[in-house]
Amino acid sequence: MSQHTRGQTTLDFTIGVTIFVVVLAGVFLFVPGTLQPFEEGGQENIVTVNRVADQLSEQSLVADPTTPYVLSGDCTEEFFGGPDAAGDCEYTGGSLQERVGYGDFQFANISIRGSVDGSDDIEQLCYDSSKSPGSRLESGSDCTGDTRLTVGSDIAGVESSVTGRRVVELDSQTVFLVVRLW
Amino acid sequence: MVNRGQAHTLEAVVAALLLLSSLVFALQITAVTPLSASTSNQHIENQQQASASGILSIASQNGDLERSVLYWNASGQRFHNGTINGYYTETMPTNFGQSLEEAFGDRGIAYNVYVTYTGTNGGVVRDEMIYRGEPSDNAVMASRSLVLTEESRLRTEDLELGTQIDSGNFYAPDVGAGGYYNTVRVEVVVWRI
Repeated sequence: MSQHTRGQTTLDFTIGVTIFVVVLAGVFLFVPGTLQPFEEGGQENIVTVNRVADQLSEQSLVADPTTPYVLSGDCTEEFFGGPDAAGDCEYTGGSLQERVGYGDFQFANISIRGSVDGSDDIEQLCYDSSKSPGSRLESGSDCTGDTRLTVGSDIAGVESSVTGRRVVELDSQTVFLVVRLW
Repeated sequence: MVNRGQAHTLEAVVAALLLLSSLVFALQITAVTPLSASTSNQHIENQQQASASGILSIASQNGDLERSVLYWNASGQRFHNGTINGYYTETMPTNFGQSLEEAFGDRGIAYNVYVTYTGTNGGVVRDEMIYRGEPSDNAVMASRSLVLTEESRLRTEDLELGTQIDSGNFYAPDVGAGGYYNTVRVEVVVWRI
């Protein structure tokens, strides 16, 4: 009968240790997960996106460097793939990567968004230089044949990107310059 | 023979509970909110600051900033249609106010606009233009200076030219000799709510 005096069987012991190990593993997996949003975030992308946004809104696309954030229509149109500007623009190179400068393993999308014609929605804009100044920015179905103010890689399907946003003036209207990098 | 009854199983469960409760305790004492400091938080502050500088720069370039600073109701001693305290609590009915509202208004971002100028005794006076409350610790500021001359004229409610400014009808006093009147610095303070 002596073998029945044991209060603990091997099975009990196994269950206890399993519970302990599972909880221990769970805690160690959970803690880094809670801190993750504060640690990651593409440090270099954040730095690059700010530099690109500052460079474009304060130097590359502006009409006059003494008035930053006021963009030149001609240079902006050329930058986004429109006809060549009459004068010189403050950027060089042909591709987007050469013009703004980012790493070989980074992707960028630069666009100008805003609301025109009194609508409240912020949408993708396009530029029609054949119109008179002040009404050159268009959106939606008016865009046919105009220069779409977006350049770079396709943003669709990208899960996480870093966004830089600047308030700029283009064609006497206040719009947003949005730089996305991933 | 082992005479201990159930000791290992209970110890394991107690140890597991201890681990869990210390984790819960650690989570409860550190309030991790979207406003907690982090690199992404800093990034957002940079965006807000750059947006505010952009708005000020644009308004300064096309004259909206001057129009807004001079949008003063001399007889009421406040900005046109402002509250009895002199300032606005939502936005101001000029293009500058509209730009601020467009950039920050519907994005859960609050902003104050202050005007600072030299007072009669030479000190710096700070008045509210748009005031939405006390900024948080994470607020950022952008500012732009504007020189007023004695030729500067108040704007009427419809943004038409009004009378010339002088110490009697304008909030900032005439502190300069000759044509110089005063220098007004417009400060935009932005924070997330």
